[in-house]
Amino acid sequence: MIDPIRHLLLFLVASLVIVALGVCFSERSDRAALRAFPRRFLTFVFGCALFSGIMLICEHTFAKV
Amino acid sequence: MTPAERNKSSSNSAPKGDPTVAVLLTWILPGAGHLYLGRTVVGLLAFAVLNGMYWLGLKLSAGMTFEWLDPELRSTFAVALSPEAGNLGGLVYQMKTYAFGLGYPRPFPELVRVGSALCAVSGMLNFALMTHAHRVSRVGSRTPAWPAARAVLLTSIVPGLGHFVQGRRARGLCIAFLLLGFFALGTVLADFSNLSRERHFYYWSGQALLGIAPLISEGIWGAKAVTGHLPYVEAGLGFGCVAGLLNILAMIDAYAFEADGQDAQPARHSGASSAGPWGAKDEKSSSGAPTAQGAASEPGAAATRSTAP
Repeated sequence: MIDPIRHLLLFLVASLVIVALGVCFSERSDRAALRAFPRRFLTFVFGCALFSGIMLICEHTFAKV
Repeated sequence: MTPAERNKSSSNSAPKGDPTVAVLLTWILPGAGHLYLGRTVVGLLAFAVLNGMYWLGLKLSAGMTFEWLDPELRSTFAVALSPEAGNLGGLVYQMKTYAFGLGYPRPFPELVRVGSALCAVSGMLNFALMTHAHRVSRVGSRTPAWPAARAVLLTSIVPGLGHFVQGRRARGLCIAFLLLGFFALGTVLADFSNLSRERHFYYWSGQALLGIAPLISEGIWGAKAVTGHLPYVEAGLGFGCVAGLLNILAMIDAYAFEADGQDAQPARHSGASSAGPWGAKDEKSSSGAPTAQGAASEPGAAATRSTAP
């Protein structure tokens, strides 16, 4: 059995690295990158959560048929 | 200086050739792009070093690297996702000469890992050479093309090193910490099994883009046996691979910082001091609204940027 808490922590770590590199890539100055990071991180996490929710709904609706 | 001399000097320093052609030629045959651009010495040197490295790698590995691929994965384009694809000429030669082996199991040479790594490094170094060819064809000898290629090369060796050398130390350290830490976490989760190219051919290809860290780790722990069930091995493999792929973003960032800084230099020298190292684009981020002041007020700057494709 995979521990859901550990799974969530690993997802947050992966999100942190992906968003941080994305911000470094899109923002030229470090200050702008730091400012943009929290919002983008939350957007990424909530977007992934929404996507997971949709996938779960699809799984429960269609996979059982 | 007479007008004739000035014209001659100007034509010597002007950009030559098409950047796309230069990059494609370098991709197909390391050094060919530089020969096309009239950089004979660099072209011949690059040809000898990169193809020599690939050839040595083939000799040490007996061309058996792609025999690590599972039989069901072997196809014409299966090897296109390996770092060797950076040196297309070498890869085609390898596929023509060795392909996926003789069709039956046989022992691997003792130095197969070293040979495999050499071929992969040759491909990755050729990416930096392509960067240099691209930059040379855009700026000619008017501006040194080496800093932009060096930034890419250093970042491809150690994440963040190119940024550090550019003076962006906080960003460089941040990138190094994040990417190497991500790779290390993935390695621990996969219990070092991600380091073996033989075991995870494609994941290895992704994490190889992190440069020297996975290669050294493979040399030390690559042959470690897996002794039990690894519940997070998929996460570990993904983390290592994604860390390498994210380093491509870091390389592009390092290149763009150097290239845009050079393109904006005439504007800065002439007193358009509001242009930062990112040139006129800096004005957008600092004031919140894009302005073309840097380019419009300085004909030299506009002329410089007009050379970009």
